[in-house]
Amino acid sequence: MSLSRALFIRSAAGIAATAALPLSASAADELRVAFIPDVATTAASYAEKQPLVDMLQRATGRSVRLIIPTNYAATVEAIGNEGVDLAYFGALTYVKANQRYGARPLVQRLEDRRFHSLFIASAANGALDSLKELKGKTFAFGDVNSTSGHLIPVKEMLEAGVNPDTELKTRFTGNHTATAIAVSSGQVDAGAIDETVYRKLVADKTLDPAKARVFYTSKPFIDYVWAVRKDLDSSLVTSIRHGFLEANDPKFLALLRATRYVTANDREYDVIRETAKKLDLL
Amino acid sequence: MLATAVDVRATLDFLRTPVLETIAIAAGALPIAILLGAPAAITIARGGRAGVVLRALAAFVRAIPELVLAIVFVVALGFGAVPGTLALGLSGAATIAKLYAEILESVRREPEEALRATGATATASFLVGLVPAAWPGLIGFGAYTFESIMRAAVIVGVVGAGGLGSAMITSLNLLDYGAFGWYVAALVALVIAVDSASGILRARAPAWMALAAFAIVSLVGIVALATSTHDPWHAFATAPPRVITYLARAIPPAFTPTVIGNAAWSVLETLGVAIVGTLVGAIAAIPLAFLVAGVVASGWVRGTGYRPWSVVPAFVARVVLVIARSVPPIAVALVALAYVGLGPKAGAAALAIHTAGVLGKLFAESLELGDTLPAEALVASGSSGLAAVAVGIVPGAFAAMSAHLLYRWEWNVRASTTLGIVGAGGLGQQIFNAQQLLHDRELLAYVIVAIVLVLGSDRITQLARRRFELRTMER
Repeated sequence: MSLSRALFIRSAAGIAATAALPLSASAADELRVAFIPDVATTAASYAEKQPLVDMLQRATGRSVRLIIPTNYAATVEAIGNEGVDLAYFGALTYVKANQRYGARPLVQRLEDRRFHSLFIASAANGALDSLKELKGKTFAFGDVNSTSGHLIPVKEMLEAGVNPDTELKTRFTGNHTATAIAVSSGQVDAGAIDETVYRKLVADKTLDPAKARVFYTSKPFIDYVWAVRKDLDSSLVTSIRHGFLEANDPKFLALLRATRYVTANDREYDVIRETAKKLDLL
Repeated sequence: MLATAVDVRATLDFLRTPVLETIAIAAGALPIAILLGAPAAITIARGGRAGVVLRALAAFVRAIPELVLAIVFVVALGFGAVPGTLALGLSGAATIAKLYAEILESVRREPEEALRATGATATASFLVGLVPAAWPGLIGFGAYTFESIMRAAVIVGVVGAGGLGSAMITSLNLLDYGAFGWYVAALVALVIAVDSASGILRARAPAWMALAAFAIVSLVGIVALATSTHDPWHAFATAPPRVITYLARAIPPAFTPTVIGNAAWSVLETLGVAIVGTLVGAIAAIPLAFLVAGVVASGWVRGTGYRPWSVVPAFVARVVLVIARSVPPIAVALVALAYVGLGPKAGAAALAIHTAGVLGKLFAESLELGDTLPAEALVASGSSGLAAVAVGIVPGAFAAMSAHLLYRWEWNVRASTTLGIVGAGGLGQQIFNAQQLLHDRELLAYVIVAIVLVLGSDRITQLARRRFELRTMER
């Protein structure tokens, strides 16, 4: 085993356990950063996230602790109970964190302003070419709070005249990677997935695109955003924002699959809010 | 050679944090469970109005799925070991209150009453007259609770309370099945260690050793919590208003037509999982119990003869049982999901495996406790060993086996309300989805349904027990 692999395992374990124990001392001015679990499943290792940690440390002058909760809702609760200072949300989780705990939007990738969901079909279970043909099929959503893995796919299905509640057998897999596996292994006929996760899995050769073929791409929507908790010190908020906006380290941008960062605006999430309300997801 | 050493060290390294955290959670929860549960048990055993109230309270807390307790504490206290410890401590206290009260009630009271009559104080009479007789039971069930807490630590880990549970979910999300396997193995090792330690304490250790073990475990828990990176005092100070806000948002519970429809279907699914899990587990347990009990191996029914070649199946059966009951059903469900897909099938499979492990052991004990004289007489009069066991042993053990089966059924109903959090169907899945969506009022509605279901099933088994005069404890 190489040294880097050993180091990865050590840091992964340290961070995976989000808490406790006399193993490391508490730092009062630590910046605690949380991801929704999605991102963890694709950007793979915690050690690979070092460019992000470095950027935030440089920008804020604080030590940074990464936390990856086990599910989307936990990230929302964490920003409510001061468990974390800065969190990476999907659109739906952001809207919830904002409504419930006053989380404030900060920055997002240029790409997040025109994001897409992909509908993928299992090669094992016959041909599928349109949303209408989903009637009677088994279908995998990601986490119930996923924007690209649940909210938008449901919206698009309803617009296509397919009711996922009554006309499909649907399941939640918990994350995009699990959806990809469920589809490619034929456990379900089809599924909905975050476009960047799908591309990453294919590029990493974790997923054979022939076994989970894209048959429909959603209309663009606004998605991921970095947000801070309501009462985080404003000078700290400013330095985090500048850190992102001025970031040009290629390693950092590649890690987060970004070209550059732009300021996020709460009002632009109104469309997500309305959709979520209509679908009883808010 | 060197590479192997590095491998082993790296493996131990990445297991260290979650394992220590799980130990910390369980060790911290045990003193909470005992210190809250034991006085409650004494009050319950004494009877009176306070006893009745506490008994109802304990039954109520036990009916709340551990997952729900964990959610509330995580919301209140943030991530980390502290919320997990408190959630498990509270549910452990309710278990201790029930089990200890049953033990104290089942012990003969004459010695205590005699002491009272001679003018001894109530406390002294209790300590000298009652506790020694109840001692093996108290130790046994204390250790059993510790073991259950350790297994349940996985459940609270799933919602972010740290330890092996969080590590398992994270490793699965990362598709790191190797790490997942190591975490499961580590947990099995922990549970087996607690199991064997409690066996020793129960069988031959003096009382001071059991007390010392308890003190050491408590100390470990307290030190671990006090020095955790999480700031427990700040968390405790800010927790009450958060819990109140959280609960206030959930009232009134949303019993909408949709919720009622979902709940009705989920109750059926939960009961289905519990029934299939219990029955399949019990059926699988029977041959294993016969193997382990030595019906085959040792020939303890005199005259059936000792068969050295059959020691091997007995040993294999024993190992199978230990592993089957050490892995928490939720971990089995996570593995089963990969094979049978999402849904109640995975839940039923997980419960069946765990039930087979637990019932196999208890059935074997029931068989061994029985009187062997009738069987020996049968063998002496020319019947075959197998027939002698069937006619001479099984009927005598039947009552104890049925009692264990009923107890397991209750436990499985509880467990199946929880398994849904990993996608294994039933009420647990509705509870988890409502919590995930942050639909607090629907969450409360499903939790109420789950509590009613558990209390209702307990009530039915209670009636069955009374009707057929079945007791879990031998007396």
